[in-house]
Amino acid sequence: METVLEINDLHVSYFTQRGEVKAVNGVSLNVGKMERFGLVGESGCGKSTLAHSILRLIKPPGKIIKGSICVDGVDILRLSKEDLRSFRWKKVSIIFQGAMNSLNPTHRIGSQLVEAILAHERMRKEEALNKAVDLLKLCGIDPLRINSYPFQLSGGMKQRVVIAMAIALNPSLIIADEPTTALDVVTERKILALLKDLQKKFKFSIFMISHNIDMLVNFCDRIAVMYAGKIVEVAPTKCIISHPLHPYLRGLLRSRDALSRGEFWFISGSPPDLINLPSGCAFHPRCQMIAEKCRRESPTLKEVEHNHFVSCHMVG
Amino acid sequence: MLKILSLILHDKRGIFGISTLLFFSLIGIFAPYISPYDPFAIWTPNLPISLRHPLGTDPLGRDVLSQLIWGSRTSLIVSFTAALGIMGIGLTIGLISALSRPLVDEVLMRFTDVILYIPKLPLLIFFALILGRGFLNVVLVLSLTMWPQTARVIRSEVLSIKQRPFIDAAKIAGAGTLKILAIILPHIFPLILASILTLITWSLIYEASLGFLGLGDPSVMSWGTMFHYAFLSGAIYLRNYAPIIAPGLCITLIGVGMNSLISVLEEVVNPKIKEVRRWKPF
Amino acid sequence: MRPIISIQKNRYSINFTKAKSLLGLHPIKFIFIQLKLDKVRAKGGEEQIMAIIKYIVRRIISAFFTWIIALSILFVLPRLLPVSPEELLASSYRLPEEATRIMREKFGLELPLTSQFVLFLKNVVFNFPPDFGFSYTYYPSRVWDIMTMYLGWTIFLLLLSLIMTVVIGTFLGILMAWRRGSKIEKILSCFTVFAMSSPVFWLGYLLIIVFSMTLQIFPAGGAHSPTLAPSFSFEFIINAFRYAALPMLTLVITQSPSYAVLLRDNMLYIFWEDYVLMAEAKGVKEKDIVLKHVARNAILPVITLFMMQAGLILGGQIMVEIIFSYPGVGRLIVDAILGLDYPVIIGFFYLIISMGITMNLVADLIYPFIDPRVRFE
Repeated sequence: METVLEINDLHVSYFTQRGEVKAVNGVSLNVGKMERFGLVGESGCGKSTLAHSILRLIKPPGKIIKGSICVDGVDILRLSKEDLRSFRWKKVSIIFQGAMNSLNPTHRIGSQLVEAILAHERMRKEEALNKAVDLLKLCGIDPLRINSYPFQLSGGMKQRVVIAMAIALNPSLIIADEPTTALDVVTERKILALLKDLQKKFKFSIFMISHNIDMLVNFCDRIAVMYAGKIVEVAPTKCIISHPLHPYLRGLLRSRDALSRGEFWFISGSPPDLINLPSGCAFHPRCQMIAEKCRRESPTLKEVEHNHFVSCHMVG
Repeated sequence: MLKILSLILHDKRGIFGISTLLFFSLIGIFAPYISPYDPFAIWTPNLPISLRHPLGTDPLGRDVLSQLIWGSRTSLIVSFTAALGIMGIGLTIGLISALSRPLVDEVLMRFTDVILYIPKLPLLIFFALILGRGFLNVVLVLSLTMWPQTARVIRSEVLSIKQRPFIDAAKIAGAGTLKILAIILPHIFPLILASILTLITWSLIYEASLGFLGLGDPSVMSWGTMFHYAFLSGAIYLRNYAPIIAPGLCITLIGVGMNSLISVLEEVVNPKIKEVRRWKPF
Repeated sequence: MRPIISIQKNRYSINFTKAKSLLGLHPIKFIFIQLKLDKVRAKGGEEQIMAIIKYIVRRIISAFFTWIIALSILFVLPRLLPVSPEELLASSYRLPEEATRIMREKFGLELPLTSQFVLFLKNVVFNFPPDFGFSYTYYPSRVWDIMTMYLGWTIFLLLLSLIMTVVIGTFLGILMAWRRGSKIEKILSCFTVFAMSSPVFWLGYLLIIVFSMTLQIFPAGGAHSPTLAPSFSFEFIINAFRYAALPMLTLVITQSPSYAVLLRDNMLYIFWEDYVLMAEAKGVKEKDIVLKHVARNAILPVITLFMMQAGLILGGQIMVEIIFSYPGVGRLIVDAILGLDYPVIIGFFYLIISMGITMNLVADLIYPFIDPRVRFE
């Protein structure tokens, strides 16, 4: 399978006054061409940091310490500032959490679309504008809205505008960081359908991040589970549902099943402090299947069955 | 309170600000002991800088350094008192406005706005004329003209605190207006402090302006009156610059010190700005 | 002939070349207008024009009421002075009999207070030019005529310094925010703090000392060379600018730092907004991000500050006029106050209040054009 994105042993930390927050603590993963790849994890486990680092958008006090990120074969961590600028949006684009805030409130949405286009392509403003109109139509927005300001649009429409911007330059990969978290269920379905539709037309890969595992199960071909800055399980969706292996994932699914039955069950303990991570396996304080080894040694991702990777001492 | 003090002292700007303040206050307090001569005593006019007259003499023959030292006493006392007076009025009106019914608030604010629109200097001159010269009058004049800005600032801060959940909780628990006031006060304390510092700076400048125009108290020496006599006696054309440069420099230095202190206090009032000022995104 | 906008089947196409040549406008603004003309409801377009108009009308009405209230205070205050109304308004001993009689009639000194107020409104508010009677020191000139003579120079200096303050303040603010942490920013920050804290008159004198006495580049007083007669000739204009240089410099140095610092602080805040990150992710050049996104949004509160500072600006103006012997309204008022020329004093306050309110109104009116959210308040 041809890969569009290859992340290798990535480490990203935030150096705050309280200490070093190890948000991404040795992550490796691949995303293939035209694949829908999902990443699930709790709030604060490092998902957004991972997403931002693919475009090198990490701001101080954060820093990418080590590792490599290759998009279409090019290691973006080694790119110069100018190459990085032209790489951004052309090869990879991103849909941020909370589209409402991604749009500048004092610029018309037409301008913002045109800005994205003209930053990379040399065309006359009129052509860019025409293209913007086409993009809006593709995403299901009335083209006459091109002169509106963001505050005149509803949440769902704003999200569509952001999607229109994301596909503007026909990138190889689109990262979607919790794109539907702020939306209602009906709109969420429509947005996801739109994304699937666009993917068929433009043939990009989608890297979808969410804390809502149901949404990912419905949407993605493969899902990765993230905990405390590490990937603990990666597998095709079918495997994730039929035989989840990592205790954390099993705990997640169990609590979600319990809820649908009207009961309560949750994983004991609380999410780890990323400054003072537990020794050995980061999940061990909350794990049911714990052994002595888990306290001492940190597990690595191993292929347990075909295309199904788990990072746990007690599995496989 | 102590926390604020320690925050100030740990910051370079804070140290600079406090030292400037202390320096000039001490000079002012100990003026009778430090000043080499009586500021009104007459010597030979326009003497250059020398050991006997470290800053020379002004065109009227008075020792500049003595004037400066005694001037700091007057100017600082006036500024401090005026700042307290302005804060008194501004705080009261701001609090009343923020904690009363919307109608009262609106009326008070309109009234405040109108006074805000009127440029300060003519108003100051006007009141000074009416009330006559004299030290206390200057304080009074300043208090009557400069409170609107403070009132506004206090009001907007109190209003935003009023929105917070713990106020609602207090109301549910049956707290009356006075009790709520007592709850809010500690929260606006850093703001009050920062505002007082700003007011001291402004009072200093306006007091000097009034003095410069000849509307100050002629019986005491202040930095403003130093300017006035310098201007009147044509010190500039006589190339005797010390009586002009010296007091202005002092005022500027105090202003810079105050601004540094205010900078530090701003970060106490508004913690986000501290974070924002630390890192540059690109 | 091919129309400018055509909607054929489902294609929406715009003939921009023609549009641009017709109106020479930026294409987006052009659609805005053209769609309105074609009676196609550009959602967002029409609403906004209506909203702006409503906003402007509301603001003008509000400013008018504030003006009336301020003038009413102007009516009340002088009557609180420990000076007899006669002395105040009709000066029975400084003006000849005839003039005193006219003034007393005009201000209705025998009538009850309410009637006096009505007369006041009639003379001052609903009358242009407002009638304040005769000036005591410049009799037989009327107050308004005296003021207009001096007003010209004041407005010249005021506009000049205002424009320069805004330009330099904005430039410095953006520079300090963009190059934060660099050597130049540290130097500028130091310089701005000093400039902000300097008293206006001190700085004025400093400039006189440096530029007039020592370097002899710029003159120290007056609005123009005494040998030149006022006219619109090129020579005179250059001369006027030369004489305005130092006063303007004083005003700019004392006023621009506060804008610069406010703009800088705001920009530093806005650097952390999501849409700035989005612009960076889109691959927009750093220069464009700083100017079009950050500075554009950061400048809004600066304009609010400008609104509130109209009083300070005018105060500084007066001080500068005094120091540089500039024949403006500032000089006039100081002489009037010291000479107890009450009608002029009252007239002056009228002027200054009106100018202050106008400046605020102007800033208010600019707002909806830069911040679209405000249109719908």
